[in-house]
Amino acid sequence: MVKYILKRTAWAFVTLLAVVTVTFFLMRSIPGDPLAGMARALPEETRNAFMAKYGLDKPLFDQYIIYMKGLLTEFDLGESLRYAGRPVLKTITETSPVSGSFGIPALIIGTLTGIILGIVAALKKNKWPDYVVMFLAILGTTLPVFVLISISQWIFGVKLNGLLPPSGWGTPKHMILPIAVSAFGSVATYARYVKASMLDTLDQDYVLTAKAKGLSQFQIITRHVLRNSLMPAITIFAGSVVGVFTGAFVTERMFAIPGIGFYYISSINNYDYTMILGTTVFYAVLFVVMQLILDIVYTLIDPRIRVGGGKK
Amino acid sequence: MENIAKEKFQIIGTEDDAADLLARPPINFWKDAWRRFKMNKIAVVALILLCVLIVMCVFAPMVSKYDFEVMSDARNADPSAEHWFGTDKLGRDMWTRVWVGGRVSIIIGLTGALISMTLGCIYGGIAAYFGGMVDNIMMRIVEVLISVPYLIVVILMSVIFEEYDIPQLVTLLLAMCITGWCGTARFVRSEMLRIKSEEFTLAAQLLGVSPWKIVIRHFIPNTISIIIVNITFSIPSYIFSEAFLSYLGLGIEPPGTSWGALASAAQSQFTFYPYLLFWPVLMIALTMLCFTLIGEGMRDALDPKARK
Amino acid sequence: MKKALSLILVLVMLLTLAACGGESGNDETKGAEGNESAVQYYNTYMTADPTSMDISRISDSYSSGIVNNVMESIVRMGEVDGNYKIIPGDAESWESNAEGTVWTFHLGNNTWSDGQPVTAQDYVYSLQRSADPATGCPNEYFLLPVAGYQEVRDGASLDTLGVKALDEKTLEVTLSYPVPSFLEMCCGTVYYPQRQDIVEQYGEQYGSEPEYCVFNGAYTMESWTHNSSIILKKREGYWNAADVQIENVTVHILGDSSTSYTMYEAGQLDYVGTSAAEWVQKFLAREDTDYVKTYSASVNYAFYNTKDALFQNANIRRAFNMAVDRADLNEVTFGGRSNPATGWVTGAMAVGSTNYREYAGDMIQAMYDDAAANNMTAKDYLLKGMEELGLGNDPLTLDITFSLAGTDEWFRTYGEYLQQTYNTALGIDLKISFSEWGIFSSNLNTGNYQIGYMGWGAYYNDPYDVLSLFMSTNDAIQTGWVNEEFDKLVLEAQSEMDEAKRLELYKQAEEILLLEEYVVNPILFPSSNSFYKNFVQGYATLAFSSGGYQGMTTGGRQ
Repeated sequence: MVKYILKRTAWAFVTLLAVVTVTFFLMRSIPGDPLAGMARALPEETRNAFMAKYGLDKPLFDQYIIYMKGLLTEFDLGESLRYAGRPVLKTITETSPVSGSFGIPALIIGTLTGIILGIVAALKKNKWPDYVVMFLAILGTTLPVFVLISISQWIFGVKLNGLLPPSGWGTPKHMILPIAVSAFGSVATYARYVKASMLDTLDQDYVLTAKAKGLSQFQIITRHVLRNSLMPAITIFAGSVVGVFTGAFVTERMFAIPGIGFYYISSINNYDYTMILGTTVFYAVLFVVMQLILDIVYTLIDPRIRVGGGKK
Repeated sequence: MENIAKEKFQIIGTEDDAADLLARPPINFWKDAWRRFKMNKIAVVALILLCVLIVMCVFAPMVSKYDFEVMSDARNADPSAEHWFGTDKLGRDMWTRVWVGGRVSIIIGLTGALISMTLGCIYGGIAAYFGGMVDNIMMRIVEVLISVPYLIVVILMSVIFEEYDIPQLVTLLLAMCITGWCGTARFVRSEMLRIKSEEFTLAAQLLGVSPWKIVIRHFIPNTISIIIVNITFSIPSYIFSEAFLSYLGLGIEPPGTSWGALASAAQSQFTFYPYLLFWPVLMIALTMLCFTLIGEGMRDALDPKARK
Repeated sequence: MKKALSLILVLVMLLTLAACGGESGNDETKGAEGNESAVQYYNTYMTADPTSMDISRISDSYSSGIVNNVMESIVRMGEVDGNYKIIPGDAESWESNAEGTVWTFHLGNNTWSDGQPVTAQDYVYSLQRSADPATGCPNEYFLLPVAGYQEVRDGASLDTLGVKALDEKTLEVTLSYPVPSFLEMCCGTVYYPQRQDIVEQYGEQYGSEPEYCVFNGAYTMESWTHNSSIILKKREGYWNAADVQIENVTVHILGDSSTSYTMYEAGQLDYVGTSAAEWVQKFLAREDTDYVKTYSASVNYAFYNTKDALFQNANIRRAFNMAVDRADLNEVTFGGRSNPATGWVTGAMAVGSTNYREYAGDMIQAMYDDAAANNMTAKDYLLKGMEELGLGNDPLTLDITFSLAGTDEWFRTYGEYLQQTYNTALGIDLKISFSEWGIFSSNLNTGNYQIGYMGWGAYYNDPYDVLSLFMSTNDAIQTGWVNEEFDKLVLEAQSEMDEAKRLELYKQAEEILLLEEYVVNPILFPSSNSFYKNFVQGYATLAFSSGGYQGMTTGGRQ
């Protein structure tokens, strides 16, 4: 196992290098530059001074080498080109925990509710609980998040005489709506995946065997079915965890949450090269690490799976 | 998967005459599935509803007395006998616009989901089957593709494609599929890893079935239910991501429209004109409902274990 | 599995507890806030996060909106009975020589937030830092009239710049040519002071967070939660602190407009602005709300690439100028809450105390009147232009693309409206292209466009600000248009000290632009619709006012 993890870590490193390299060159092939966002065309000297200041006047390949050197030797992500004086690393370390602080509770609540609803729907297939869950799932997927947020802000902020602040950040009270709204979306996803995979597992021979042995339904589900039908939920969960720390643009914007989601979109619109690369590195690291954990978890949950390949 | 050395086995021959005996006339797998699908009433209703939606998208705009792109002075009108679904900000008939938009959305939702499913299944299947270094490299490639910011890829594509005058719809589909299949591939792989350890896979391998056939015959049918859920989810997400792309100027070219574009156009005023948002969202929800129910019907019909 | 489940249960319980605990905690703070004490506070918002507080590195209106409150300028643009008036800032008094080329400011007793006095040297340092090419200051061209500016840009020593501290409290600015509107220019952020010791102490980080700043304004920045909120506190060391009534200001950063509307309705904001007609109606119906409509100092316009094979022809440009029904467009895109353009120079601009637009009249109407007198429609002009270019007489054969620098829903509706309007009025088959600003502007730079659309917000109150954009030396709007007569008129006007003559020169220049050459198609003069809770008083009603929060009160808050 240790050898496997070491090997995978080495691969993760190669993946990261590839991500940074691809992103670097793709991003620089988009026409425009950080100064294009200025309303007025700047005089040539000002442009040049700006470019020289951030080393953007050097040949592209040299810039790449310089960036890579900084990244690999001292994990230097540079300074934002848009927000003068704000180091990219600092922005990420300050904003991603904020995104996590409402995203993690939302994910946990949403996942648990979703799994429970999924189990209920599978056991009561083609009965009303199944239909209710399906209705919720479809609502949760098709109702655009801005509608959900606008309505909840209006109900709790205006209709119920300011029971909850419609927007803002800082007190636990401010967290309730964002958590609820974010959880709603994941409930839909998990319920549907768990239902489908439960139905699959219920058909398996060992479930039949267990039934034949006279195990109670509760025992069958907790001992045999659940363990095997949570695989898809885990795969999705891994993705969701990464999503939590990389923020939710719309939710954060509408609730004025100082999270990281904003930077993923705005950095690209602003040609904030260092911020684009920084946020991408952050995302890639999280993602790759989660994949690694996921593969390990697979083997733990289902001992028959050997991810490492054939030999033992 | 352990490899079992060939030399441990010895051919002892078969009873030749017994092999040709058939107890019942053979039923083709797909025919059988279709027969069982038809028995599922709800799924059949959903299939009919989906056909109705598609027929409306094709024909409703043709028989409507309004042109979907022509403006009138009846702006933001409520639904009435004149305008069944009301009119939008520019006084255009929503009934006509919803059906015209449906054409683009359904095409994009369907082809997008199909492409990403096909690619994802094949890619994920191969990675899971071979395992080891092949799996490792294939999955790392997927990780790179997923990690590179999608927005950058899409913006770059829009710039390049505009230069070469490639039709908007093609650009759109490509932009959506370029990373869309990666999620499916990862998903399919993890599901197939599970199947790979099942006894029938071992049996098939022992019998010398080609890897290609094992993936197609065993892996995919056994993961079909999860894959179908994945597809029914991805159809609305393709429909919405088209709307997102139209935010980036990559969406369907004006005056053309789509459900996603209609929904996002209604966003800022939806508290005042809720039906402008209601109709496109309803259509997306109906489409998704149909695909979900059909999907469940298909699952029951295709699942080899459910065969009775 | 069991372990995992129990762990999750514990987590959920903890969260519930945290939520309960939080609620009671919040109630306490609410009690303190709602207390009928004399402490005045004001809750407002901005739509995006400021980029920095470093005045040599900012160019966005969000940054200057905050800088304007935490920093004091040499003079301020105030309002008296709905008219502009220059009022003292750091300078108690000022004078210029007869030609208007040497300005002397006598500083008062303002201090910085760390207790140091504000000195003339702070201004000298600030202007030098902004002019220094190494700084890369995006607003430095506002220093263009200052003597020695070009030399500094070309590499001369910073001391060459015509800004001198005659003594600790006397600042002298020498200009290379007379600028009648120089005091107005001085209200721009690039003319604000900076502390050399602080800038050098914090280096690159200067201005990025409140702890890396020093303030000399009516407020200090208490906290800055990026993309969420900014809290300002009244500063006792401010020279005019006695007149500052609001103690605490919270500026929420609300990127989504519907959130700001809900926040206002929920009583969490004391101000809200909107251009959506439906919301305007809704807020107008509120009894606790005052409505203020301000001409914003901006113009929305289409412009032509005069190097393009088609748009090199003035008649074709004229046809496109005429084919837009500005009043109808105002209805559709702004619910009738904006103003159809009546010229290129916006309605908010004044020369001295005379409103320029009132003097120069409605040039768009003049264009239609002239066409009516000649019995010509927009399409007639198009056909005439096509004939001149030898392009036949079928407008459908023309390949025309209208580029919009924005991709959101608003631009989409706008584009679809224009497409339909032009197709109907001119019988053409117009294509609309949307792109991100960066791509759009790089297309402009390479001349790879036909018609573009933009909005322009003026920086200071003189028609020169917008008319100079079309001078051949300025490449802000890439029309490729060159007209010597126009250049001459604008330059002459800029240094003309006599207001009446200046007005006339500007008017002649604008006539070339709009009635002879049709280089640009002014469409709307946006106005801002502001709503304040009744108890808010003393807010600015003119576009260029730089009073900030210090002149306001919320004394009547219940």
